[in-house]
Amino acid sequence: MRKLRLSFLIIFFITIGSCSKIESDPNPDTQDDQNLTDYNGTGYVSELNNIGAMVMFAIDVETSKSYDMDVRYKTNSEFKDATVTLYVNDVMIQNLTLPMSKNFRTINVTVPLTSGSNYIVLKTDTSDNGEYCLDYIELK
Amino acid sequence: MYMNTKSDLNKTSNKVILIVILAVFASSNSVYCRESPFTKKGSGPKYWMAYEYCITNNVAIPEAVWKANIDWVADNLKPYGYDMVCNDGWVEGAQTINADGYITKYNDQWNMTFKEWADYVKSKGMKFGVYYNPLWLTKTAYNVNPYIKGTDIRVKSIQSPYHQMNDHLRWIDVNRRGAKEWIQGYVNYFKELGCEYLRIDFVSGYENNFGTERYQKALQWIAEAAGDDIFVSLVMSNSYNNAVSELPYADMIRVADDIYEGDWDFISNRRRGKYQRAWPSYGNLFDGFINYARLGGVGKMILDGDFMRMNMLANDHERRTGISLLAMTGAPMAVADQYYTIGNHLWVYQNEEINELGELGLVAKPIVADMFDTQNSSRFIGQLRNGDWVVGLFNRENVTLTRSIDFITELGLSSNSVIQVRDLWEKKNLGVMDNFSVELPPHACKILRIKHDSKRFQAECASFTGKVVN
Repeated sequence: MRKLRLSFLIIFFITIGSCSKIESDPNPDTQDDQNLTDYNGTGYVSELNNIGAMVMFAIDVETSKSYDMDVRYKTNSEFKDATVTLYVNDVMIQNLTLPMSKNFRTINVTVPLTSGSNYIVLKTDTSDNGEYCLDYIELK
Repeated sequence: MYMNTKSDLNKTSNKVILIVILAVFASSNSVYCRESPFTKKGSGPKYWMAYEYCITNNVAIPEAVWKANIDWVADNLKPYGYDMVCNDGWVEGAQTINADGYITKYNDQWNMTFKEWADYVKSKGMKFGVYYNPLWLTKTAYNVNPYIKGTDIRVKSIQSPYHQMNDHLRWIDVNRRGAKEWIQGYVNYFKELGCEYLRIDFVSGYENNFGTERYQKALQWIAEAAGDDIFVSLVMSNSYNNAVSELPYADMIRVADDIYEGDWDFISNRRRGKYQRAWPSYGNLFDGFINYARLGGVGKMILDGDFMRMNMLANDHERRTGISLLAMTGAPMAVADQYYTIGNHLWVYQNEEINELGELGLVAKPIVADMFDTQNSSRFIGQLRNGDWVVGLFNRENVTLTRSIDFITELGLSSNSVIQVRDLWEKKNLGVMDNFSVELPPHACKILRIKHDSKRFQAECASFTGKVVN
């Protein structure tokens, strides 16, 4: 029993050690640039790389249809795309690839919305790296 | 805690390992809310709460006063969206129990049962809320010792021999067989009474006495039983580690200490700028809402500022600020004034345009969530689901100050995109502009609603698990 527990502890701390390495990666290319100022509004949301991390928007529309939507973001790395999963009303719409960009830029996606309240979620799923910061979304 | 045997030590160390694992994974932000229609709405209920009578007299509210308040609420507040009433604490005198050991009345001196009062409240077109903690066991239930509903287990066996709430209420231990049935049976019992809101107090007392693991287990069972039918309101939670224990299981947590006297001290001054790790982390409403803002939002946690006592505030500036802060942050707008103390202040609760913000699920946040940045943390901004911006400019200080907001640089609107700016207290359209500036007397506020022609939604004003960078 004691050996089992000891083994468990060793595996546990190795796992935590690995996680810590990822969390505190000293490579400046993967660090969020805290001094970035080209955001819109009063700020942006960072630290979205943990599994399950999300940004949720509650949005009302009058008409049920597909809407073009801009997503304004920047990636944490200049050399690697970010990935995140887009959900609308709890339904997965698509895996988004956010092309690497040091500065904020927009990509356009299509989202199916229904009249009334909708919940648009950008979530870092297990298959995503979530290495991005989000400035805003905008329905066109 | 008893740890006399080697077996106990082994069990304890296993639990420590489990807690460490839970804490590490919890910090990864993987859990973000209880899935319920209440968190999806984002803002809390509007209701009347019995507190003021109890705190002022330090006794349970008499039944006649309770009824007079319900009738007053139905006539004067329900038309403005305040559609629920709830008892408060001082529940030690609730020792009348049913065959399952559950309390049937708020107080032994009352004639009518919870069920009868729930029916009466519903006959007035309102909802019925109950203040009680299903982790409690009354002294009477302990002495009568019935079987726990649906089991062959006696009630007495789930009581903790080591921790008592007080002489009249005992804590149950969730690790004892039958505890789950007791807790979920209690929640289901309240549900059957017609209760739609359960205000569960002293939860930090449970966590402090029994530990986080058992506290989480209790919350999980309560949430399971509550489902979509009962709003789960936690009071006095420690909310350790960004409320990782509470987020998956509660609809609402308190952000600051009790209202008590209900004056400006409660809204802004009490222990201003001071944080403590355990309940209550903050002493006043502003500090609480500023620092808990990261946890609030649609689909996350509803932040609770306790109640309002308009009759205890010094002037109308403070009254407008108190209710506006609740409306802006999506907090429940809870009235603790009584029919005989409200005086001529009822108008504060009757501003349809302020009340509508809660109906629409607004959860605004301070521009900077740093209580030491007094200017930016006194400016709250939020977006309604149709894209409208709502801006709250507050003056917490004792001198007149100018507060401003730039719609282009701070709200991210395009030039000329503003359609109309409206002052929600003056109920006046202010016209089209790119920015707004106002001199605010001490403790005053200005609440603006800005219509514009874009559908841009800022991430820093949405619900999120990450961090805002300004």
